[in-house]
Amino acid sequence: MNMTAKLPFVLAALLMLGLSLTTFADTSAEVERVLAQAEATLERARESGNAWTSTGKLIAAARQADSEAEALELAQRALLTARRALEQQRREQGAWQARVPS
Amino acid sequence: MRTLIGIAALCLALPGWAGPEEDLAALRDFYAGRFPDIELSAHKDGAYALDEAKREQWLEMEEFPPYEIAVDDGAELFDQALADGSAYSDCLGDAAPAVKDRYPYFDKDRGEVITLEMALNECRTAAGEEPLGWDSEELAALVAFIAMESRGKLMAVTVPDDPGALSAYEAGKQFYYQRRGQLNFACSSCHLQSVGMMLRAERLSATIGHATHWPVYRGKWQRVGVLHRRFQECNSQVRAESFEMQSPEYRNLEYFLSYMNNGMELNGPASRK
Repeated sequence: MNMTAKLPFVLAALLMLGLSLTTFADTSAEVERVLAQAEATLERARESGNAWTSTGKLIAAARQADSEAEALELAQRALLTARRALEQQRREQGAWQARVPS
Repeated sequence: MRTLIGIAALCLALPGWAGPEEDLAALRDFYAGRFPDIELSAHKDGAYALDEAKREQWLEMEEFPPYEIAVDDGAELFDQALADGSAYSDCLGDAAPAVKDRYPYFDKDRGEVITLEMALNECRTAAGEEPLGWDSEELAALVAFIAMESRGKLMAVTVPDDPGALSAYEAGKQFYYQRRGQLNFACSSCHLQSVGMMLRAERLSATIGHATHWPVYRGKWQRVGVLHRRFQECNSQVRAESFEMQSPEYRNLEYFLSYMNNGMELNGPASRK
């Protein structure tokens, strides 16, 4: 096969490489975005006096993850736990009194 | 107007809005009802008041108490002169070393709860010494010695008629009843709601005995440790981030918990698994 015949294959390969790099960059940016959200939400939970230990561990695990996909999943879980901690704190402001014996 | 009065009356009637005396009476009634065959005073032994087999094992352990070395170390530390030549007994008052029953208390001037550990470290800094670490074996030993000397006295924590004191008490009370952590547990989830039941291999003890016996030699720790260390452990067990030892949160919690132990005999130090 001469060079002219190979050209479409080379171009296709380059295009695929470009696409995958773009996806990788997008995923990486998404991980950072979600992690930043998780960290900010964790800080708010700490300020409210009700942070969960799981959030910090998930953030650390996301930073150490082997793949971008795994990192994204862990970061999303970290964000979820931080949000739930805040929700728990909000809900408990009106709930704890009912547990006091009277 | 009638609506406002109604709302105000409802708020007053809500559980959790009672004052310290009413809280204590209600808590004692709760345990008397839950364990009609157990004297309230017996709860000073924690889970060993509720489980005969575990009590026998514990009494055997108490024949050679693992906290004895800490008590001896504490006695030695207590008698050592501080940097300026003064002694802990000069700083802690006439009854020293038997002063465990005086703590914690609310200092109106400072507007905060003062614990025995804080008082000991303040004696040190006033005398030109470095403070001891809150989790140090030295501080735990000093408290162990003071607890031993205070055995037999009754817990008599007061909440003075002061907005700051009431606020500290209420903050501690909220902490005790508020669910936290990923496991969604309050202190009361174990020690009221599920008291007497088993959590894995452990029998859950009653609130009215939780503050009488500290510091404690815990097999898990392999040493004597202070109450705030246990608070941290409880928090992390339910996957909640813990607070610093002697933080306002834990001092307020200790204040509430100690008030709920009023009338109980001081029996520290103690041993636990």
